Amino acid sequence: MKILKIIIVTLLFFIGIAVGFCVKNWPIIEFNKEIKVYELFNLLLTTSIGIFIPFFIKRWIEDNRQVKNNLIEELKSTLRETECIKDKIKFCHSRNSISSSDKDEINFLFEQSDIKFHCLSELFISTYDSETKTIRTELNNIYMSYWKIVTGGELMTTRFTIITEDFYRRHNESFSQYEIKIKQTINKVHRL
Amino acid sequence: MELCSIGKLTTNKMEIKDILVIAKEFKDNPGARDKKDGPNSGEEFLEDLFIGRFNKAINEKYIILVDLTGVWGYPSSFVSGSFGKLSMERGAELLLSHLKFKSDNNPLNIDKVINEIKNPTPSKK
Repeated sequence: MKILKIIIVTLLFFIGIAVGFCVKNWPIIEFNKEIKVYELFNLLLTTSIGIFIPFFIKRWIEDNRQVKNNLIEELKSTLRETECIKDKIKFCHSRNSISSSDKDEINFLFEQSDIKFHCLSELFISTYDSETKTIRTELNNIYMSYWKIVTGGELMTTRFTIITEDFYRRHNESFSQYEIKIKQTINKVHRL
Repeated sequence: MELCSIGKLTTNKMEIKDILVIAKEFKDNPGARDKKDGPNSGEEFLEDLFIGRFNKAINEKYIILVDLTGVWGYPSSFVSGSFGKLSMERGAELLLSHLKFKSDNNPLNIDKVINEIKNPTPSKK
């Protein structure tokens, strides 16, 4: 907007000089009396459209693209943040043991992922609030479901000292649903 | 207690008279659902700390502000064993009318707790 203001002020300045010059040297410009008024307006209008429309439309398209790129980048980084939880569980599974400090770390990673997820939701609200209501609800439900599957069952109990195959399978299924939803959302953002 | 009426909806307008900071008054690393499952459980929080304060709030008709800030992370099992369990016993409406939540760093924690109160997860026996 600042650039636009500078351009307008500069244009007004030069128009002012031109008008002043014309008035001072009147009738330096002699109008052809055969030209009709609407033809003059037509010329001015065409010139304005030719100059300003591409400028504004290009700018509007670029702004929209930038907003969408930001959203897509945020979606990708939210997925990366949640992937840290998956990596931790994968590590514990391959090590064949999980300690209470590992469980605390998983909860902490969820806390970090929550903050990122909240940031993503806020970004959606501030850019495409009404258009993304359903997308946000679906994403939220899948994310909450993933949190419940990981931390809502046997993981937090002291008896759970190794990542069982059953838990690992349920975790992977839930994570992959979340990952698919994020990737589908990226496609939807492209089409917004 | 002041009554506030908007159309057909009549609500009790209560004040916040108690603040419960989970990280300070309980633990900053909540654990499993039931006491038998390990330390810092939701059941332990409910029975040893929360239920007494909650009953007092009901009797004296005020709101407790539950501060969720400062915890390393809330496992779903803890939320379910505390707020979810209480919601199943006393009803979501009663809980939501006497509780307010605050979470400075992670607003999603509030959604997690409120969602559990509204749709409590039954215990797996």
